[in-house]
Amino acid sequence: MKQLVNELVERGRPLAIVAGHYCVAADLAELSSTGAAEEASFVAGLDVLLASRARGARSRLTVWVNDIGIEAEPRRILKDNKRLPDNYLRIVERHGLDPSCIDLQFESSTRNKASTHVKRLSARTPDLFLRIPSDAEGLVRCIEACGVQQDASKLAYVIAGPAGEPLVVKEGPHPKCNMILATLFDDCAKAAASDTIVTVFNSIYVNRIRLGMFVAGRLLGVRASFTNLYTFDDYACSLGDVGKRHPVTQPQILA
Amino acid sequence: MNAMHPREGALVIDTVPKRCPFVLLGLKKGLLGAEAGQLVAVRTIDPQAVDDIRRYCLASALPFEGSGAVDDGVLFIYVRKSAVSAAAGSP
Repeated sequence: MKQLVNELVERGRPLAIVAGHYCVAADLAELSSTGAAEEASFVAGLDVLLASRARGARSRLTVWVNDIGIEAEPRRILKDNKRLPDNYLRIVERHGLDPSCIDLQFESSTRNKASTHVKRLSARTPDLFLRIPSDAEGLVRCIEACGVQQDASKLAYVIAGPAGEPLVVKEGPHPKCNMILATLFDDCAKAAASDTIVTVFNSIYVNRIRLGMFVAGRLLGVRASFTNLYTFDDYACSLGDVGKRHPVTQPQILA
Repeated sequence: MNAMHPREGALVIDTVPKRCPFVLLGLKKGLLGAEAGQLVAVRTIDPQAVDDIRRYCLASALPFEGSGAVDDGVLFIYVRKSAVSAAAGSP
């Protein structure tokens, strides 16, 4: 992984880093910021950020917060405070890093923006989507914990997926996670003025990331190159490099 | 064999009626409790979980062993715990 990070930072170009994603809802406590894979993701992302900034690049790290599934008032407070969780802050402080180069984005906001993207794209280029009843057979969708029931009265917005499969990007009023992730990637690349996106996610999201990248390119015109790392509890690695896992329990500058 | 009866010897992890991401979280827990080489069967109603778990297995160097026939919307997805595995929860 050290070699990978070296390759990423050697040109001194800004990187858009997405790491440390965590969930707030109580029923997803295993995926909270104190989860081993979540903290490892943040540490690995911070390592990449530090290495990149050491080369003079104005890279940015975005921590994406899943604030879906909580009440409106706690969500409002969470968004108003816009503060890293305590364990992440302690890691940042240990590195003497200015927290202002770390952004927080909230999934509820990204979801709203994703919905707007679909409406805008659909109005501008109606042929971009198949609009078919949500209960049509064979549709590929990410079914989220909050669960949207398939319903013939709802319209599914469908595009051809990576293998030509009918991929649902929005169902009724709800954008699916592939569209939401695509929106996040688009936002992060723009915020960092970067053509290179580095993601570090819990390995359970590997398929979601794959589809999010696809939709980002297909619908939002994201042309950035992606480097995706995954955490397995306290280990991070790239796909195809599982045998060379890099321990991230001890934060360090990798390059 | 149908979806109500998993393969013999499999450690069954029941995630019904939950959906993503609980299915993969259930698999991770199952792998923690399984013996090396044991088959883990995740019981789910989420058809998308088949692809999610297949790709998770690819990422984790875990043997994906297919999925059982759908019965009343319920299916089993099979993963074998490697003797030496890179997946989370491995010894």
